[in-house]
Amino acid sequence: MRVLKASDYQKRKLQGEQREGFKINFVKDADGNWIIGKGILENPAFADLRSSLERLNEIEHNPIIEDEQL
Amino acid sequence: MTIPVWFQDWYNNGSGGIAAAAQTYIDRVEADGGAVESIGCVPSAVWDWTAPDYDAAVQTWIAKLITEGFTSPSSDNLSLLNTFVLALKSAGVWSNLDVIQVWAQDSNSVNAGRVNVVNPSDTLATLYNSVSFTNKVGITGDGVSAYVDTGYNPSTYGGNYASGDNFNGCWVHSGATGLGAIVGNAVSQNIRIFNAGTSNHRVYSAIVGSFTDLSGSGWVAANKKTNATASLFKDTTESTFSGMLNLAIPNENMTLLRSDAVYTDAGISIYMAGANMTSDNTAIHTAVNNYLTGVAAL
Repeated sequence: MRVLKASDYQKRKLQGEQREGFKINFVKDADGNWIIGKGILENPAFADLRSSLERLNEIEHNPIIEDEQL
Repeated sequence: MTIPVWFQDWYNNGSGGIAAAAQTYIDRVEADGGAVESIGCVPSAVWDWTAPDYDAAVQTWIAKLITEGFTSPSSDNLSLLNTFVLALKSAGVWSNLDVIQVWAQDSNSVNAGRVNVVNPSDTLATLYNSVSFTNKVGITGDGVSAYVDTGYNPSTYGGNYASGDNFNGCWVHSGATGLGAIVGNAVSQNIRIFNAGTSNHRVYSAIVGSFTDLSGSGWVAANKKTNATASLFKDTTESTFSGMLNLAIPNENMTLLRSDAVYTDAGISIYMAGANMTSDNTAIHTAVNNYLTGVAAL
């Protein structure tokens, strides 16, 4: 699965932005990257942030696997 | 000013109010012979129409939607919600609940689901990232970062949810791929329910230890019956656990589609929480199923 990766600067700029009951929250993947699902690009609530969101890099999802899940 | 529900029904004509054909238009004829213009309308049956006799809880919920500027579900959907609430009251369940979030409704907006039906004045739920909404079906996660902060913190709420006496339940409309966490907290792992077959479910305990299959669509519920006992339900099939720890209820809001770092691509139609509902599970299952079946048919 492909996800969007933010630099620290991009994360600081976008984290916590809130529109119409939706809020942006980057999470860490297993490699320590700040990521967010690609669906954010299609969320109409964040249409005004679309150009900033489109600048995020696309990477392969490497989720955190908890010990219990192994 | 409180706007009567009957007026809202009429005003929301496009989502189930009085059909346009049943309205009487007040026309103004241009003095210079120009086109006739409709300058207003009233429902033809307004003088005869009795306001829907919704339960007070449903009325209060609708009033909150209006206050927030949210679109109301149709009058047919509201009738189904009213039946749902009355069924819970008849079963003696309602007074033991703190939260019902009805994500499956036909307003064409996710917002109505953000308002707690039990206590509409509560903090609204917040949707993170790309939680998707399907009309009449509910919300769905992305398995990456999307989740719902319900706004409900049982440790500070002062409601029915208590240590050794609590319940979380939700109706899953589409099952998770993999180990999907459908109910939990953003940080703590003391309570976590997976839409999966696993021994990792927690009900203020260490992992329950026994493989319990809560996968697929349908009703999923976790009840802490006492400090040492718990029940998990998949629809009406119960799995019981005893000799458990009783970990603290963390000072955090409940989350949907997430537990700590585990997210899910499952979908939820309804979320409920309150006191232990083990003996009421069948009644709740029936009421929720009837509501969702009705909404799907609208």
